[in-house]
Amino acid sequence: MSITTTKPVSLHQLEGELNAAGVTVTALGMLQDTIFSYDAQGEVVDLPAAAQAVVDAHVAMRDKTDAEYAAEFQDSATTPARKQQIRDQQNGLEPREQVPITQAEWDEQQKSVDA
Amino acid sequence: MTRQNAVNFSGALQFPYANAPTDLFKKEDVQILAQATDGHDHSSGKGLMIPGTAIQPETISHIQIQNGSIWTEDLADNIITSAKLADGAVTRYAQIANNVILTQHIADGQVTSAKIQDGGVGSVDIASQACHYQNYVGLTAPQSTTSSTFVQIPTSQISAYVLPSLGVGPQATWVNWTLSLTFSATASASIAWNMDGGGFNSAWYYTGAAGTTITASGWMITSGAVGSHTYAMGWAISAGTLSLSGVTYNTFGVWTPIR
Repeated sequence: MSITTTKPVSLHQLEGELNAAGVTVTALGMLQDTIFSYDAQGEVVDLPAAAQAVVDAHVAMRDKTDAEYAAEFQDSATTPARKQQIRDQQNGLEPREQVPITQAEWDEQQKSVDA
Repeated sequence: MTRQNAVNFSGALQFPYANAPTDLFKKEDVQILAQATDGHDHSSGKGLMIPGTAIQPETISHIQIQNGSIWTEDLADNIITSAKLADGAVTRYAQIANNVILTQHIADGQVTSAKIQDGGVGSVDIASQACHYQNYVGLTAPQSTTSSTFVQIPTSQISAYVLPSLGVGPQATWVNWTLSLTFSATASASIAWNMDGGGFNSAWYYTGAAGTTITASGWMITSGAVGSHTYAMGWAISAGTLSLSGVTYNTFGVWTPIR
């Protein structure tokens, strides 16, 4: 089944969500708005129909950016403990926090010189 | 008495003659006339010149024409034909005006290498496909993959690419690419190519930090049998999602020099 979407997609995140939901995929690919998988030869194949619900429920996340951390760090309301946590995350001592990819961010990423 | 002298003879050959019945007849009338007749050659003072109409057509041969006496103005325009020129008779380039030789005056296949000055052939004189075969495709973007093993990049296929025969065995060929790669996580991206749907040949790898986009350009020399082939690109990522950014053009090409 050909699955398309215009909402933000984090492909590797979606791959984990599909496998967790029992829709086994070894890898995912995306060409513009179409999401697909691969066969054993690396050829493009459609996703099974069961993948549609997982895609619909998908909320694409990304790492928090340095600019976002900096804004929070500069906020007077940020506690010293939180600032330390921000330092640790920015220095790789802890995983970075995840934030949703906004539709505006996604649309910007999807722009193409071919359009 | 109305005797008179000849008007077309002069000097010693100017004979007198009677022209009225009452005129005296003198011996000189015959004596000088005989000399005039004897010396009559139609030159000045020796009789009337011979008009062209008095010469029978097709009777004057080349021996009656003094060497070197025919002038340019004696020849009508456009009257000298090829048959009147001896083979090899035009010996000086100065007899050909500048810029008058046209392409059609040179027989096909007649300009040999020795007639071309070293370094004289400019790039504009070479057809765009004369020195190499090439074919490029623009890869549709954006597109992404999470595959850790090589998978084909959709829209990267170059079909019916014909490797030319040079008579020197398998033809060297360059595959090349310029990609704008975005990494969702710090990872290593591998680029590969295949021919005729065969296994992917790993060509290059690029590392990128999470959230960064790099320009990945590269090439690889390969070879193939003479004939038609299909080429395609493959890619793989060690972690996260690898994307082809649409912010710039992404291309995959095959290029074959033929000399």
